[in-house]
Amino acid sequence: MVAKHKGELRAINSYEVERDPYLVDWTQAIELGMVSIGAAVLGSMLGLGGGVFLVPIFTLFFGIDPKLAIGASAIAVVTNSVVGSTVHLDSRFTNLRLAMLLQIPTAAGALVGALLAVRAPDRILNGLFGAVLTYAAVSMFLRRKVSHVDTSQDPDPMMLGGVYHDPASQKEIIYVPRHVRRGLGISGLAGMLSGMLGVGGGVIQVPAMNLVMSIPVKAAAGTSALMVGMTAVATSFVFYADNKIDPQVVLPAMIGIFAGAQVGSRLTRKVRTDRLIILFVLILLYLGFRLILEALNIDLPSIR
Amino acid sequence: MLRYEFYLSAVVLAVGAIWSLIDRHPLSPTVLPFQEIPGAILDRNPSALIDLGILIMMLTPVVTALSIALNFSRLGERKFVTITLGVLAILATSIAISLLR
Repeated sequence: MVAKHKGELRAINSYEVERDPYLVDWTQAIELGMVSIGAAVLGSMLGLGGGVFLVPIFTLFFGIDPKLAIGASAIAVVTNSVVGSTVHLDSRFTNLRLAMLLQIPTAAGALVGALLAVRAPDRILNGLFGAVLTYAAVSMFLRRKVSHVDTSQDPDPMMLGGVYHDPASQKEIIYVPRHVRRGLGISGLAGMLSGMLGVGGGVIQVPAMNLVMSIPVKAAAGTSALMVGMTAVATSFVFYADNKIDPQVVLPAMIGIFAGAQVGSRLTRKVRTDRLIILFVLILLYLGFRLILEALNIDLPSIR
Repeated sequence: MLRYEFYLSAVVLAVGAIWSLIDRHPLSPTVLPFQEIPGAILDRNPSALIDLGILIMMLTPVVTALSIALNFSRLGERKFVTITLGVLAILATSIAISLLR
């Protein structure tokens, strides 16, 4: 039986709790850590970050309260962003001016989203998360094209243009973002979803930057990597204020996401992820539908 | 800056986790409020050190935003200093909410 809440999970484990609480805590922490590694490997291979998988897996298979899972995921996203950003900043893929401009609606959206999330019923959060996962799966399945628009000669009155060296083509890439106002609007939406669900928001922001603002994918990913950390900060402090940061869940998630992202980034270089895309899409769809069914109070046979 | 703060958080977390393991101390189910953490560390509570590591990690992007604002200031880019201060104001609001806990 899948426990609906952490309290119930503990009740199910009551025999073990009576036997040795120390053993139970650390055993569960190791399990969560291992699962977080898997989530981060999948997430980084897909370029989605681990949070997209972390919350549904913690909620569906470990019976962890969705809000505790979202709080843990937000801090794991901060960890991943801090580590990833150092690499992107060194490579000059991060456009700091653009990141700070887009960060205003993103962080504001995340703050509002987090304040809504701590008061929202779990069913609403599960349903929303299920919808976002389904969207991610469908867009991943359909997304085959990446925008390569040359914007290097565009006027840049807002001084948001960037330049970086692309190691693949051995060229200096110059770009000027287009449709900035539309980008600001999308960032606000991405921030709100991120705040509500504890995910980085890159799943919306990177394609939007590339397809709407004509920013090269590497610059979009580098800029987003820095932004998601700041966005998750706005979320995590709201959850901290509401006592929804549980070190028993956060610590294994942080360590697992960090370790998994390292493995995932190395695997991505060796494995043709496009061949695995159908499998990933099916996993996302499965988790999305499970969460939607959970939101609708429709029980499925448990896995754990 | 980003890297050093990450290392600091990782070291504090690792020390807290190892101390908890040695003391056979179960992980706490909640993070203590800011103001209670120093006292709890002085009371030799390893969970408080883990809480501190988590909070350092949560604050890392805030310090990054602050250093970005200083860099823009050094470059004389007043518009982007203002924008970055706007980001910091939103993050500070979030932190203020947690202080009112």
